Amino acid sequence: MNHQRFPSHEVKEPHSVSLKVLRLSRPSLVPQFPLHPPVIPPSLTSPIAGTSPAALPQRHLPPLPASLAYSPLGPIKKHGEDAHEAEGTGGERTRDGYYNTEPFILSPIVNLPPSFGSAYVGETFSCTLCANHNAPPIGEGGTSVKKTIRDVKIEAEMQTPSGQTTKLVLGDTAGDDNAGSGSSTANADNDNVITGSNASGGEDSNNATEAKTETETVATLDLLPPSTTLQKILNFGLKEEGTHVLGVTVSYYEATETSGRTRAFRKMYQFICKPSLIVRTKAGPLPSLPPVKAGNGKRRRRWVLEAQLENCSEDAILLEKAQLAEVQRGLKWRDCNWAGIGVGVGQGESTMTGEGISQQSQDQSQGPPRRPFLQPGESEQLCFIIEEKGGGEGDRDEQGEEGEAFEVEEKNGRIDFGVMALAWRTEMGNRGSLLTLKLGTKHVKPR
Amino acid sequence: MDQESSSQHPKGHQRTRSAVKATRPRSSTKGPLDVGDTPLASHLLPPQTQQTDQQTSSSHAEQQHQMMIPGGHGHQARAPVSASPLLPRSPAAHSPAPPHSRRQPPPLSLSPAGPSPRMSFSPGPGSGAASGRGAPRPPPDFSHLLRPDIYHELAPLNVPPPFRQSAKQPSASTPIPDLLAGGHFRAAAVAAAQALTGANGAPAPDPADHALILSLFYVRLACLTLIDATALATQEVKALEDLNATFYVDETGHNLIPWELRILAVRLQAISFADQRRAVMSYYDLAREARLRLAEAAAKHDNSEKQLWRERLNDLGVRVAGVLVEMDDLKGAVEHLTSLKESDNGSGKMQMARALLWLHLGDVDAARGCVKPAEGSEGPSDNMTERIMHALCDMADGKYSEALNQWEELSKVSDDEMIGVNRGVCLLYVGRLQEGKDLLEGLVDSGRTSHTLLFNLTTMYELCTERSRTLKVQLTEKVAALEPTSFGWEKTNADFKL
Repeated sequence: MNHQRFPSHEVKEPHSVSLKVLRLSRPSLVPQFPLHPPVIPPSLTSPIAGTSPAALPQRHLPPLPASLAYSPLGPIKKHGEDAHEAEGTGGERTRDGYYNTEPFILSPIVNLPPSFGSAYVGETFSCTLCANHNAPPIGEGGTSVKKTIRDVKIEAEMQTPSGQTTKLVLGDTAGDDNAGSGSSTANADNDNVITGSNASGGEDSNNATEAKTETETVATLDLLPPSTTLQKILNFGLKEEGTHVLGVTVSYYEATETSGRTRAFRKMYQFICKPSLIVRTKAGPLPSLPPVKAGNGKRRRRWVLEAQLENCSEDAILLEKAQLAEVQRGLKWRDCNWAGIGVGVGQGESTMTGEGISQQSQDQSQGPPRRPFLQPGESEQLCFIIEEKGGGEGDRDEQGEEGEAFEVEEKNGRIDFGVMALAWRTEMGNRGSLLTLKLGTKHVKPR
Repeated sequence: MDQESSSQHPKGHQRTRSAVKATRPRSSTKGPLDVGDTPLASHLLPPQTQQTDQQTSSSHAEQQHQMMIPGGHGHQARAPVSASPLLPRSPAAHSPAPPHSRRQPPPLSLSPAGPSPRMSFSPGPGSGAASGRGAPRPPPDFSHLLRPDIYHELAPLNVPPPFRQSAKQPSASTPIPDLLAGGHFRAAAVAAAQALTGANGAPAPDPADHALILSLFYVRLACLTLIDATALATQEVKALEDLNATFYVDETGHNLIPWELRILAVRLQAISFADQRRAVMSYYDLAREARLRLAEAAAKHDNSEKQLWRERLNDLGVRVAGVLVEMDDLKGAVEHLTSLKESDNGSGKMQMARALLWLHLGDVDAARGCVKPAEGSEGPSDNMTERIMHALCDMADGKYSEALNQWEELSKVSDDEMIGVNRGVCLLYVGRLQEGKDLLEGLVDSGRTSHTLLFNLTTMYELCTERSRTLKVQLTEKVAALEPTSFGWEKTNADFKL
């Protein structure tokens, strides 16, 4: 892009600033394998005494502290104070202010992401960039020239498989909500970029990132003292399948007592983004309904839209939302899936969202929610019923109340229903979402 | 053996084949009675076989008797019993007297009447109880756990030099309980193996002293899992073979193996067979036994015993859920955990476990729902479990700033290591790496050294400098200088990502 590679022959001296990156996936809960403390027969301490009779106290003791994910207590007991007492009283000692879940395998302490992991379409890619001023170790190489690092700049851009390069917003916080791109559930409905479905059309990527050009895409710092770090975080909504290249350019002004110069370097990080959910859809006609008002005359046509979602990732997926969005004005839809069962007829996305939430709280009181949970390779069948609005009663349309049956638009013998909006979570609540292309049917004749 | 049989029974091809089958190394059903891999094992077989056969198939008593007579080829008569492990190795019966022959029962002892004089050799707890009930039995011979070849060498290569060269390293003569209390788990693992094999000068335990042997064996395996050598533990646990074999059951029907070892062996064996379902099954077996003991204790009105078994039962329930998590059967784990009762009210442990499982699965709403205070209870700010879960849920929702605020609030009221570490992690997610690093370093200074803390701190080191190795080495020196505690003192290179 606008940054040229700097000729490598210019400077051979190592850079004073280094760049380190870490993909900030969700932190993970640390597993633990609690062990029962050993019951040591007295004969072990004094072999001459021989074995003891079966008088060992049988008690259920708290697990060995070393086998837990973290140490239970603050001021740690010094070795030698009284080991046996420490073991015996461990339970009482730690009751207060100790919140581990042993002997359960998952503990509430978290680990930073140990590796890059897999990147999937629909997820937000968060990554931290750290520009560090590496002060040379004292007495190394004899070059004790003091250097001042000023005007540190970090710029990052993402090259997507479609060949587009997007300048990335560099913020301070990771997370889907402040992603510089619109893949979060909150605004997914307004996005018009689709991938990962059967309908992966060649629609031009219109990344929300570009719309946000007013936000900072260059992180600058006036002065970077030795052994300090300029840390920035980028969030990018992954929408395309294939090879992504993250390019990061760091430039800085390096001043010694006698001279100064501007230096820069660029690092590229390549990763592959895979689809995680395959969507297959099929639409078919249903018997039409009688007109709402007897005098109106027109029967209302109905269709069923079926969808099969297949988890083609390597992680389990919890489906959170499956709705129709951007539904044509003359149509309404009914959710026949986990969120729609027992809630009555959904009218449109805005009402559905509210009902979806109330359904969740119901779930909690009734036991495990019915949200579909897909292991890798598993699939889930969804169903929506779409019908023409009859006008008049009950057709609360989000666009307004004038809902006197809009004529359903047909194009080339085809009716477009709308798009399907899917949202899911993976381990530790990591979010993913996508929209399909327009879904519709050629069965336009009423039956 | 093969050829010999076929020559004697020209028509018995099929029989012969079945006998051959028995010589193959079997995987899961292999018990202490099966053929060992080493010649030493074959020495030990006769007495063991003898006593188990007595229990399992008394109808074969005559054949056994015949077998024990020097030169008797009992295997011909027993050929159809293809599972008989002794069969293919029958020549071993003629081998020189086993080293522990003094405890070997004479054939006469097979007669089921009368107290046996052999009891005097093994005054262990199990045998003591057994003699009280007047059921005569040869004392089990645990020599199969005393063989030096089952214990691996523990090279300290993966231990950073500051630990290896520290003056805090225990001396070779430190008793095992002190090693455990000081968190010297590698040294304890070595000491346990030495004690079992008599390698450190002291005599090896009496093969009949099962309490001592099994306790040492447990120390060995437990310590291996604590020093990041679980792979070795899964190898060494094989020496126990089938834990439910009648060999390990005394006359009263109680298993001689300590409960904690049975629990650990379940996990290690499941790993070594790469079959977690096996662990679920084994835990259920243990639970069945726990219920039995619980009923017995209830019949005796022994309240402390009842309490013990009830807690063990609860413990097993939670462990089953853990295996399901390891198997990635998260839905199954949820169902299972929901079915478990809260063990002690007020601790909120089970609530938190359920919530964490939901979080692991990705359902943040369900996780929040798990820690909702019951109707009419205290306000949310008093419930630490709920506050901790809410902070974790905020992280799962990607709201790291909110989560950080909550961790900061929590750290004012508790110095739990988890709260400190989670707060430090959050700092990285909100662009405050430097503060996060300082915070975690402060935790190390205050004596915390969990794997998680060190992992997170070294990850931050890798982020904040080109020369993270220097910082990591400095960290090893710092941790090595800490006073040894039962939380574990010596660390491995992996803990520091070195």
